[in-house]
Amino acid sequence: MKKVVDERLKLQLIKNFKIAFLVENAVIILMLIYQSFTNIDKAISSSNPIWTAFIVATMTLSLLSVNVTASIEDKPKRSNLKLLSYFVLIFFIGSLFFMVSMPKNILLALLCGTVIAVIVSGLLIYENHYRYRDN
Amino acid sequence: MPTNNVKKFRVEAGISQRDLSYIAGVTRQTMSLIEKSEYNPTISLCLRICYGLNKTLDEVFWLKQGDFENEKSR
Repeated sequence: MKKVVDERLKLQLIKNFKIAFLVENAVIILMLIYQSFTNIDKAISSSNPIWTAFIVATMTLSLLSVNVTASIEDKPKRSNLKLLSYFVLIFFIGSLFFMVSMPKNILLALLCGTVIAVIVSGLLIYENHYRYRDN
Repeated sequence: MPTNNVKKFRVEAGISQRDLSYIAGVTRQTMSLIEKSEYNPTISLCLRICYGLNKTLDEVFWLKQGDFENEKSR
């Protein structure tokens, strides 16, 4: 007997995944709220596996939803010059933020600013693929 | 009111809902929902149903302008 691959049930399965994701994240957020009441420094840190799981899930979701939001907005592609100016702007803002928060480590602050600028620029370049050519 | 002729042609051809769903590769419940216009099948599933019924796509699934508007307001 052949196996039935039903498109309606596939869609239902995806909807179920969505509900499971929502429930899972609701529980994680509740646990984080509880932890932050008891010890906020321990709750919001990379050593807390619940916090790491939450950040990984949020980052994955935001990365995956880029192709949806960019397609819905349907804006023209950003030019390379514009992308470069965004990189420089984010680098300065990021570095300034880290210089203010840790004034003793200027080099580390610059490194953190670079990392943030690279990540955000990477996202912008990825998003650019889903925009249309304005010519 | 159903917006397709799946049930009409299936009964005419003397095929059961279970048999047609087996030919189209979906569950009987999905076929039932398609017949009641409670589920919008993809174009490939529509074609598989048409091959099962030995009919063309426009005969089975064609919508008039009015039917289409009714379906949207559903």
